Amino acid sequence: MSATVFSIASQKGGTGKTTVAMNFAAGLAQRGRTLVIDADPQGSAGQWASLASDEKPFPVSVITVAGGFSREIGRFKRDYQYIVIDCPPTLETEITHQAMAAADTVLIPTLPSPVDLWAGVRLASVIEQIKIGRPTFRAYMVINQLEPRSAISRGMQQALSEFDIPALQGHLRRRAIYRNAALEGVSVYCMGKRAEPAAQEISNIIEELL
Amino acid sequence: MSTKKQVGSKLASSVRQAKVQQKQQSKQKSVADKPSEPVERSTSLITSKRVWPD
Repeated sequence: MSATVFSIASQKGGTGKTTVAMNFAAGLAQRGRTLVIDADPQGSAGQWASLASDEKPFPVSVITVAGGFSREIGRFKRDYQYIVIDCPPTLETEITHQAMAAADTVLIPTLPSPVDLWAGVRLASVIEQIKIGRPTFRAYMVINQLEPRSAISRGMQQALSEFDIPALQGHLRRRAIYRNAALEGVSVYCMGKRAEPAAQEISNIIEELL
Repeated sequence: MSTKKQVGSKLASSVRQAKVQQKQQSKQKSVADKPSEPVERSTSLITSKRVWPD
């Protein structure tokens, strides 16, 4: 077995990187053995999983990797079908570059905000470099916390068309249930009927990618 | 023009501007990273000749 590796990257904090990583991983776990690598020094993914109860553990193992990244990834690729890496929220660390280079697909959660879009420009230029010589490498922007009634949210598609990196059709709306899931140490798949729309959003993204 | 289109155009234009800025910054960085021309250094401790008056 050789895992498909997804890196969730962002040039700035607060884009919902860990929320996307954890829920996306939980959705992938329904399709195959999945591992989350928490490469963010803030350790939010690890913290999230640690809040799970013994009766309802988080469905994915979460490990923390600080150094020797390439070697560690190689080891885990044999044992899992999917690996999701939660990258540090900056390009100023080597780990982010290594995590993106190790990925088959990079997902870039982007909030419907000008500041987030501008931050994405530099990340996009780094990804263009990673793409060189790797025809199967893919990268996508994912709109997170979309508010369908807000003018900025509705203008996002036009703004994202300026990037060389395509945006996924699937997106995540701004929903309290994502924050509640983190607090309970579970994914939106385990939050019952009220979380069904959120779970559907994650499943849509997975289906678009696999 | 609808508000949606106005905001979309404004956002798109700001992204184009950010891309230009990013290109300029990368260019400046590559110039700054370029090693400077080698400077000929004197190995001697005497760096200037003193000419004594006759």
